[in-house]
Amino acid sequence: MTDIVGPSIPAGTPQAATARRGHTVYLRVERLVGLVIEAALALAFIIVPVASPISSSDITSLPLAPPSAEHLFGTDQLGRDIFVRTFEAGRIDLGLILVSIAAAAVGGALLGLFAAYLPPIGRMVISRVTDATMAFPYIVLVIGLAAALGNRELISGLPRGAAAISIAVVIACWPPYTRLTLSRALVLRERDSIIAARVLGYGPMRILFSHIGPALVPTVVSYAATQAVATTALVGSLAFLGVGIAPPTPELGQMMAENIALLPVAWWPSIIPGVVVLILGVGFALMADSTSERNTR
Amino acid sequence: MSTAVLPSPAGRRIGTRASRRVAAIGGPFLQAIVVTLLVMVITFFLIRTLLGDPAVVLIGGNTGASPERIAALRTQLGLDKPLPVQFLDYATGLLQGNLGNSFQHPANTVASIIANGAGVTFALVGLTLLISCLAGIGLGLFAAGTNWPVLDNIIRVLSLLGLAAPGALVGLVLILTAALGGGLFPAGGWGNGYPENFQYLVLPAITVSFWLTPIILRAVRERAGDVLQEPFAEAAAARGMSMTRLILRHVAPNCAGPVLTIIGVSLSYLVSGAVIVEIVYGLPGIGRAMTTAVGSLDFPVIQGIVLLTGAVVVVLNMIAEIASRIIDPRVGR
Repeated sequence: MTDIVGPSIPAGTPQAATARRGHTVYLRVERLVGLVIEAALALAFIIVPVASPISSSDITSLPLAPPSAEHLFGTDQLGRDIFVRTFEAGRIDLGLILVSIAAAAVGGALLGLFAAYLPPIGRMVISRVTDATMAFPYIVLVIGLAAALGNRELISGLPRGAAAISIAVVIACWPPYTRLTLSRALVLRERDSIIAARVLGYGPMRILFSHIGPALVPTVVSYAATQAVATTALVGSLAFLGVGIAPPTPELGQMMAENIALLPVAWWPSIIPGVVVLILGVGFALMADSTSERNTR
Repeated sequence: MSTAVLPSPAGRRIGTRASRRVAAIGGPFLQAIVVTLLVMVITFFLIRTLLGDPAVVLIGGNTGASPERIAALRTQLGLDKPLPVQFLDYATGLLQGNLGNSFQHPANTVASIIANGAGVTFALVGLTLLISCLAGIGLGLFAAGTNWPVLDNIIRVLSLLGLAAPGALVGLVLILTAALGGGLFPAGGWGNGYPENFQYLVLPAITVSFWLTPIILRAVRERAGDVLQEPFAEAAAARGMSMTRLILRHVAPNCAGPVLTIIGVSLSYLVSGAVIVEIVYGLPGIGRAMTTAVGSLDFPVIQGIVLLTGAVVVVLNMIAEIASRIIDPRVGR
């Protein structure tokens, strides 16, 4: 944030250099751990439901059997295996998060880039719309939109409700990227190298996409990781609000919400899916924290 | 104004001191008005174009009510008029301070429905802010001042956990341990009066604080680390000032700005988190009012809740921005 403060130890002294190197190595390890968590979970989400002999809707044993060797995560009130259900649900959650964040980041960033080349009045309109969207409490926007788009099967082949959640998350998530890229692009635009490019006669599109755009990628990626943390928690909570994926398809938040009443009798059907959401979130948080601009500077 | 995102060259000050003060307050104020108006307009048209027909829902969906009855109900609700006319009606009502009546329960005004829910939600948000500020500032200053980097790192990793934990999971675990296991607080519900209701708010507020505390903590930790490296802080340490005194006297006041800013930025997420946690604990707040209204397509109630929560977020943001500009003149942009 503030650049006012310099390092207290003069840069270049061996001590400062070692401290800095130690810090960067640590951050690199942290980022790697985050990445490994996400990759391992993603793999498990894909493999487990396919490889397992039972499907997520099979009634395999007595209802509410506690975790055992046979059913690692126990069974739910219908006797369905929670292990298989959790991993099948995770695939939907992770897929939703990745697709929505990527769409919001790319769309928002492009809008910000274009806005940088609009006349001031156009820029102001975009800024105010950005502010207004950000002023909507995230959840109100998502509930409203998800309810409006409802359980209609917007895209065939996807579980009912998935497209609605995705669209709602994109609409709620794009503004910070626009704000971020617009402000950075306006600063970059005045750089000597960009002015030189303009003097060379490069068109605005070329300058935007091959000179300014690439310089913004790290900022956008870092913010996307940060937002993934919040979105993971949000997607995992939507079912509590009565919106979300329609029941035959398992989803982590939905598993938590539908089993909350059973909490005094059986903790596993609701807590275990929640812990998976937590691990997903921690993975993103580790990646976000170690790529944040402050730490990599 | 804030479109001028270009940072002005260092040291260049435009205008007199007084006019800068006016700009510091006027800019955010105008912006807040514009944004609130936008929220109102966007909500109105989005709801009416995206959501279905409330008349059908009110009459009872698929029971095969005659088209005449549905049409009559639409007229009664004012939904048969063209959209611009409906909007004008709504806007004139708002100017007179009238949010309209609920479609679902025509006897209830939207204002009264919101007031009931908002009381609960604001109490929850307030208690959360109190807990999170105390814990976040305390832990943040401690992490910055401690001589053991291990403690600093433990606090950092724990704060990551808090950030990543979904409110619903924290709620479930707290219900399981503190309410069902320990019997410390009720697992959910709501009472009749205030001293009694307080016990229903404690666990929900702690739940939301699990997320807000790390946010404040990290802002404090970052600023405190910076301040501790400034020459004046090193000079004070060299003079033999104790770490505790240095932190409390010189570092803590410097953290007020970042804390205000980060709270301002997090408000909309804070309200969102509160809404989810409310539902986990079954509190009769804005969240429940909102889900009921969305379920029954109660347009006036949805509009009212969105407008109110939007306005609150905007106004608090504005206050945070003005406050941080006045506290720290460097933030003038």
